[in-house]
Amino acid sequence: MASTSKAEKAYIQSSLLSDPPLRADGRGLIDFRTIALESGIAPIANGSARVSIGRNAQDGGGGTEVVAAAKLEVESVGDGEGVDGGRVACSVSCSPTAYPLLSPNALDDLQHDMTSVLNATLSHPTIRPTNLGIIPGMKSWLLNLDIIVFSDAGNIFDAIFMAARAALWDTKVPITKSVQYRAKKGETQAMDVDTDETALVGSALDTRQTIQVADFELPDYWDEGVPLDGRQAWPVCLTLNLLPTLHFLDATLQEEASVPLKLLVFYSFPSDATPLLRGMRLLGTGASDLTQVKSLLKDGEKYARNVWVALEGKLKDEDFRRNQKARERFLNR
Amino acid sequence: MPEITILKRPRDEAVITQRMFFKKTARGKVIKVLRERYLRDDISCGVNGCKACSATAQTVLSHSGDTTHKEFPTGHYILPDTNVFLAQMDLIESNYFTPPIIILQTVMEEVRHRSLPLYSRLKALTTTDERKVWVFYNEFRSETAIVREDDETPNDRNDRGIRKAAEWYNAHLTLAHPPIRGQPNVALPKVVLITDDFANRQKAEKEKIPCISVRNYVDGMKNSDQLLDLLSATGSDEVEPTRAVAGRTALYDDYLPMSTLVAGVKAGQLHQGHFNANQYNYLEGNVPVPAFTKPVLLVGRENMNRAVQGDVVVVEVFNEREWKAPTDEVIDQEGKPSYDTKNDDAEDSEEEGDDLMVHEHESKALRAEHTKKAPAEKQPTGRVVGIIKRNWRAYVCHIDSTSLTSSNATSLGLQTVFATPVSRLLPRIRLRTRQAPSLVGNKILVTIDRWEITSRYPEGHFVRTLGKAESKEAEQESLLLEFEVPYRPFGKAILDCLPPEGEQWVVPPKSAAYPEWRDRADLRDLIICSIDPPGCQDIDDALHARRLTNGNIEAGVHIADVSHFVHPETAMDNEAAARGSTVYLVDKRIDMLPALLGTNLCSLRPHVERLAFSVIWEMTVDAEIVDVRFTKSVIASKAAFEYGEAQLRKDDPKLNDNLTQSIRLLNSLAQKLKAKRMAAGALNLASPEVKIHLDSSESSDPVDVEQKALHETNSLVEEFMLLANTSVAKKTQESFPQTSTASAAPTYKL
Repeated sequence: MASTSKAEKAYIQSSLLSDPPLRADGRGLIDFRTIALESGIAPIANGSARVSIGRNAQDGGGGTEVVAAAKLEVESVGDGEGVDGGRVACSVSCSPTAYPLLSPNALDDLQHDMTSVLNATLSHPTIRPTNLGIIPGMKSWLLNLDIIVFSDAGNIFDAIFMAARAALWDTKVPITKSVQYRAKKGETQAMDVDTDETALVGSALDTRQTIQVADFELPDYWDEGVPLDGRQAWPVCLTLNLLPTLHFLDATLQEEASVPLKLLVFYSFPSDATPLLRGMRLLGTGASDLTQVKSLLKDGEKYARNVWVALEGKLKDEDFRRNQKARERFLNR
Repeated sequence: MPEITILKRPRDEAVITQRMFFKKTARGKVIKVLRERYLRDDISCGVNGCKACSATAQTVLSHSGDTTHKEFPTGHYILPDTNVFLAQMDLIESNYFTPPIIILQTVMEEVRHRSLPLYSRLKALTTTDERKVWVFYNEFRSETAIVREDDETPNDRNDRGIRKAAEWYNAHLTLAHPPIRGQPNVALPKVVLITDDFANRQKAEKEKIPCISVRNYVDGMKNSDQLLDLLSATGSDEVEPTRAVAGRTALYDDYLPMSTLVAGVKAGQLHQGHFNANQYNYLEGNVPVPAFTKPVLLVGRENMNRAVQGDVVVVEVFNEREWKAPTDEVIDQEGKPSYDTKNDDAEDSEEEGDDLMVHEHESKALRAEHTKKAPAEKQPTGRVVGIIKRNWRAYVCHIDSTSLTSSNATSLGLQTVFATPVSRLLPRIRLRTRQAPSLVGNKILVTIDRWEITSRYPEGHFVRTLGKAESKEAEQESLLLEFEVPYRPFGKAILDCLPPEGEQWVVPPKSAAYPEWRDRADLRDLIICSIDPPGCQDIDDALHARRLTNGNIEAGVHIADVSHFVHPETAMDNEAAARGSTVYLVDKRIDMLPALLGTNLCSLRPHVERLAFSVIWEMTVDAEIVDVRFTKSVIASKAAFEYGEAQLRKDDPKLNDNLTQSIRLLNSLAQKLKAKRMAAGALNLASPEVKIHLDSSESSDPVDVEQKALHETNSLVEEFMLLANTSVAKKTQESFPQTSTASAAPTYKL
């Protein structure tokens, strides 16, 4: 995005291809910059997180910075876009300061591209949490996942997906209880007390009753609720930057400008099953063939697992920090 | 330079500094609400002379607590749990219940969540001057604030908060009573947690917090005799679990849960409305609901299902072929055959044999009635499936003397008796009292506590006695209570709104410096008089009329300017709005506004200057209005007449002074106005007014009733008041066309 001259690009490419490969900040080809993550940053949202990649240790400046927030909304099934069982809608917006060189139209296009990548993966029905329904066929939760890119210093997709996963991990769904009224069909109970119809009413086997759930209530409004079902399943993204004959990870802006092709792979690692490839995408002007992609996928899986493990550990730390530790500090004050 | 520090609240502490909850809106959306919480160390404990708390706080709790309780000789304060306020409000409000009370914020919030009427009674309790009540904001004091644990229900969290506050208070009292050197250690007062929640009491005992149940607490009080009757029936459960509740057959269906009711009403399958009992037939009631033009009929006890007059209930409507027509026969609760009343004894009415008899009798009466009705008169019929809101209040009753088991006047044994409400719309109430024999023949106040499915009648408790039945005081008070007329004297907050000069208040001398004179016309020289019924003390209107030099007549109506004294949204304004009207009894009146205003400052008495609002017309001799103006004014009435007196004066040919001429002028205009009004199609809907003669002014016992004579002057005043109203209405509609309310009758073409 930042303008990089042809000479600069050639210089970066030849350094990467040299033996040993050289990068401007001295990293190896598969080394990441430092990643910082904090969850629960927006208390009014149902789940939120901030991720920054490559932030300066001294002044906290620089680096790629992304904030994700999930907000739940009650939606009626049937009217509009409401879907029985709930749905997830993602959107990415970029702060103009993140891309100062882009015109407003170009920025819109970029946002749209990012949104479509995110939506294709996270809004897919196969990954939808099972606890987004409220009343079957009537009400469900719409999970709005909004992502804001504050600054981009390269590797934006990895950052977006990390923030998305952290925010969704953090999301709690308020517990709802559906309330219903059992209407008796046909014979209503006569007021004549001689018949023993009263005995039938309330019996579970009474088939004359139809169940109509009309509304829901919040049984415990002080409670944040329960985590999204299957929050293990949210994938991580790994960007492989392809320069013919080699690939490298976590490219800076200049490096990104110098490579013709990027391969995004989206992996999730359910604890018991085999790794799951949730999607992939080639970006850029270059070309690639199937055998190359196959071997890249194998490498990508390995790197993605590292990212996954690191992220998992951090998310659990965050949960602990924000609840148990905070409570202990409160007690010992 | 003042130093400004910003207390930064790091996000890590959100668990403590923020309180989050979800709210479901009426439109079905769920909103997450965050409240900041600032914990502080300077929230006062409310005990007089506490060394540990800041001295600036106004404290109300005495230093040594209440020392009259048997169990707590060293003095104590009570700290009631939420369930005490929910179930025993009458006890707490009683004047005999005097211990200093600490009310926790947690408890207040829980009460508000559970019942708004009880919450407002609780709020009223905290603001009365006579009671020693301290509200402690425990959620904001850093030592007593708590954070909800994982897997903790809201109820458990609140109970823990209450125990924590009780524990803190007891520790804090040692600081309030530091040992004084050279003196033996004084025994410290205790803060006693009162709760009827057994589990909470057990936990408190484990944590060594003094605690006690309501009944045990009242037992140990010095005036327990009066107070034990006030205990509501719910409180007595644990003391007498011996009655085999499970063995009894249910007479009524259980109510559906609230959420189901709301869902059913929303879906249109159930209907919500106010329950109206039929005063001629205790086995019938109806509920007007919007879905039907006729109200939903409820026939029989089972279908009325424990609804009491005024309750907001939810009904289920039966199939159309089961619809019935209302009866027109009188079926009386007391008029039942003798076997019924005899066996319908308060203690054992649940026995099956009697039950069947009552049942048979009742269903026979119902069947007989409903079979002979023409189908055309049928209306929606249904049954009550739940209660949205009980509108139970204290009811005036008398004890059914036949239900007494022992009429020995000295017997203090606990008996169960029936109280029959004065209102025919209410069922009999079963209550347990020790004072039964002494209550016979008295009007008493009874509150309903609950109505179990196994009990034919609701259960209640005795609140207080109003006096001997048929004595004037008791009957008068019972009337006021039955019609819910607020008759208590005005409180301090209301009296504080009165001008500080009191009776000495006068209109200040005319000068722009006084706000009283701003925008006010000086009409003190006009010949104004008032005409009112005999003995009238609150003269709110006065009149005048005079001839103008151009041959027209100027007439004026002057209304006391109450708005000068009663400002909007003050305590006095709110109270007057709640009372709505002054209530006139035979020998006394219940004022809407304090007497200083009603009968003095806002009464247009003769020969004193008063503030008024005036409508002044210029009319032709034929009573055609030429011009009208409205102004605030200062007037000085020249005379206050009774109707008869004014009539005599008008008719006396010997009198020819200004005042008399003025009355004659008004009268002639009034006659023309009335003729015009009648010609325009006015209706005369007047009903005769009666006057009650009293024995003498001292004894004030009524001896005779007389219809009030109507004088020409009655109609004079009436006519001018109407004219003033129409002129003002016209003016407001002209000036505020958007907001003024005008009742526009459709115009008919003839």
